[in-house]
Amino acid sequence: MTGCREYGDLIGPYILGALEPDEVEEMSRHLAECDRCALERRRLAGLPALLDYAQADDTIAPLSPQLEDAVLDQFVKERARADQSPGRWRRFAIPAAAAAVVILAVVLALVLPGGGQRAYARAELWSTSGKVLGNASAAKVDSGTRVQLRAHDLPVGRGAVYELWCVRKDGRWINGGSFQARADGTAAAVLTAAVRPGDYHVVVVTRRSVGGERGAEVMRGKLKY
Amino acid sequence: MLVERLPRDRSGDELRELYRRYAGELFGFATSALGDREQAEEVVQDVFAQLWRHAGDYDQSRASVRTWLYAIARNRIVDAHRRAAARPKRADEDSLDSAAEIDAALDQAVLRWQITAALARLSPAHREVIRLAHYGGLTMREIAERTGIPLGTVKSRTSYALRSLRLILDEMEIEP
Repeated sequence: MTGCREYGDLIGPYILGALEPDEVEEMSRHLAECDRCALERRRLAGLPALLDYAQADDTIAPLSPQLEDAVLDQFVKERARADQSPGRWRRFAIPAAAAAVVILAVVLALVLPGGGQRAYARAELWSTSGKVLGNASAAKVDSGTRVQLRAHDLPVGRGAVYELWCVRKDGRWINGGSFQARADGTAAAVLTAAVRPGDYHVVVVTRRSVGGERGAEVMRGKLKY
Repeated sequence: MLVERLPRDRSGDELRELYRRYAGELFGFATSALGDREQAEEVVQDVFAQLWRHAGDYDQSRASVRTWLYAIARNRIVDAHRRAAARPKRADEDSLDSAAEIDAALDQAVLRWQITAALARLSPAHREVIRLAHYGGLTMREIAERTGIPLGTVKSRTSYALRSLRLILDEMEIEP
């Protein structure tokens, strides 16, 4: 409900007491006749009182990065301690865990990027319009970082070749190579970029570069290490 | 839901997301209630420690995450006031003495920072018209003259701004 077409724009100013006296009179008369605007007025009427609790210059102060580090550090340490604390189940769990580790190692060697290297970061890849189009996982290899990328709903109408970029923290874009999407818009590729873990925080997929000009951005994601 | 996933969170990703959503306003709340940045940071750190330690007990049907976090922060702030009340005061020191005074001041501070957080989620243009009209006491005509924005746009923007604010407050479960 947003008020009627003719007077809907006046409800906000009316609620805040920011209309001229003649407009206030006109709006008051209208509210007595228009159920739609009267309902909207009731919905918004409590806002000035709530706004009074805050002050004009109140802002959410930036927090020190050290505080976030301290919170996360405490969390990681407590979790590690909790994981190490012995329990009655432990004597049964150790042989089971050992067996699971062997199985997991075999599975990881088969499915993880980098020929069995463990992924150290992952990213969801979002289109410029805010839709998830895929994901990427990064694993360390001798030559840099191997990125395993999966995508869907890629536009394939104007050529199906795309390029992967790793954006370093200093703003430099490092090319990770190109790949081709399938006719149905899906893609799966394993590419290697000359970046090291921690050097970069964003991966971007663009159209193929032409004449040294980077192609249009298709999707990007922030890496979670 | 982030809090429900927290007991299984080993990477800290869920906690980091919760921190980014709520830490700023909790810090504003604690700073205004305690008047001391360092103490406020301790409160924020403690709130998040309580959050991950007791995430398994969280009952969504009883309170929103925001309400729960503010309740934890509130308790920590009350503790800090009690500790301050127990030590000898300097002659020039102004402090809240009774539990009732502390309660009333904290209720106000909770709302103040929740409203501030809600305003921070508006677009800058929406926030600005509310600031000028409500806090600045300007009429629509005066805002239009001051900003150079057409009068009709200022009026419609103000109405959209209030509707957006109402939706944000609904989402935050804040009722008039």
